[in-house]
Amino acid sequence: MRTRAKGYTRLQGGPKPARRLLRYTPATMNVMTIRSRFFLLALSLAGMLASGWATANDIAREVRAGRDQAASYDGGFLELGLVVEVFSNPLMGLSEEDNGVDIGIALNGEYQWRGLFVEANTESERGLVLGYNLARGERWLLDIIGSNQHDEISEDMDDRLEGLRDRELDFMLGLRSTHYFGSNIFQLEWMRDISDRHEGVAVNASLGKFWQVRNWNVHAILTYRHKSARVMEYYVGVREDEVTDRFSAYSPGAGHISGLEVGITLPLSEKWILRSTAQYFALSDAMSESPLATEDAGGILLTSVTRVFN
Amino acid sequence: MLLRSACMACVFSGAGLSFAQSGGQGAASEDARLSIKPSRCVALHEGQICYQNITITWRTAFPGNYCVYWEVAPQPLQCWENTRSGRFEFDFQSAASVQFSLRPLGQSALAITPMRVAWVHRARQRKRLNWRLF
Repeated sequence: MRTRAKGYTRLQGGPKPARRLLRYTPATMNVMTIRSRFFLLALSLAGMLASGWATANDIAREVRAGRDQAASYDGGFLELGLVVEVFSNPLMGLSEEDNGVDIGIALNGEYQWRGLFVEANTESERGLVLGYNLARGERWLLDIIGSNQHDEISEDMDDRLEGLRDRELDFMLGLRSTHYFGSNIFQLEWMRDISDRHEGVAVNASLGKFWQVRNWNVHAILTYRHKSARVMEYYVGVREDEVTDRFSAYSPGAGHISGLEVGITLPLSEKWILRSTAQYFALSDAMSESPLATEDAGGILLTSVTRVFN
Repeated sequence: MLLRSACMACVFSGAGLSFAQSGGQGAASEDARLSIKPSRCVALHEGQICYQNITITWRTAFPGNYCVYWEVAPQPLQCWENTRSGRFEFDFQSAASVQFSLRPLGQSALAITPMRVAWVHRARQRKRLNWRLF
């Protein structure tokens, strides 16, 4: 992933890696790149092929699917295509430019097998989620999940970060509870870092709603993502030994990101899907006042065409 | 779901029994043809209502009183009087594939054609509720 990319360029002594294919989303403070997501997906899909398909209940996909109950099954699907993204990143180091347009690979999928699942969604707030369904009822699910929540922020991606320590991507483990209320879905996550990056905690709450307008599937998701002080300190804090002319010391407390996603999905045929999503997210003061922040809000517009493999 | 679709069909099609006037009256023909374009509707998920504006056309060898039906409703979608061909637009709304038929009034179908409802993602089959942990 990004760590590998950085290591590779250093070993080769070459230039910094090509610009990151996206992106910043509120979910992860986030930012799994399409490239890193693709890599993760490749790994996971290889594992899936070896073990059989697993469950997926990422709220973005659940809402897009218009699901109103906690369905469970063994099996899955894969979507592969192209995505065009227009983005605005409010933090340095998440992309080469703060604002830009990229074309990347859209790779979405889910696989479930006897409660074990893997979810992947390059167009959602999270790239890859591994998990296990602990319990479920008619209209609720309780899963244990593991995923990357915060991506790397480093000088390799942004020259302005020269002199700062690299902030590595993390991996967090926690619980996810999903509740279905008619065409609404509420999801709550509690996750703790197990990668020894920061040992912080993230709590994510999302409320999604689905509408069908003829064959158009419309969805909206409100998100609130709390980051503990340790998470904030690690990613947007500036330690005394990092202080430069550009960056003054900064020690934030806990912070959060609030976001809104609106999207449409249209079937073009039995195998092809057109999808467009707009995401807006606002940083809390503790985040936007960081020397690494360039704005107090950001956004992304994604449009993709994908082929579905069931 | 289908009944709802049928009711929608009645509403959107102008509620059925409009007779077009033309000269002559004759027996129905074995050569009757009924066609639909497009003949397929694609929804994103299995179980969703699929929406498609379709054009239904029919032709018989002999003029007569004919009606077009779809299987989800006992009443005809459209009828014609003393004619051997017809065409009309229909706002198809259904969650499942259905058949349209051309019938002389009060008789069996002369021609049948399907309207297929397809989807991208199949519906998940729910398993028995269980507790894995507790």
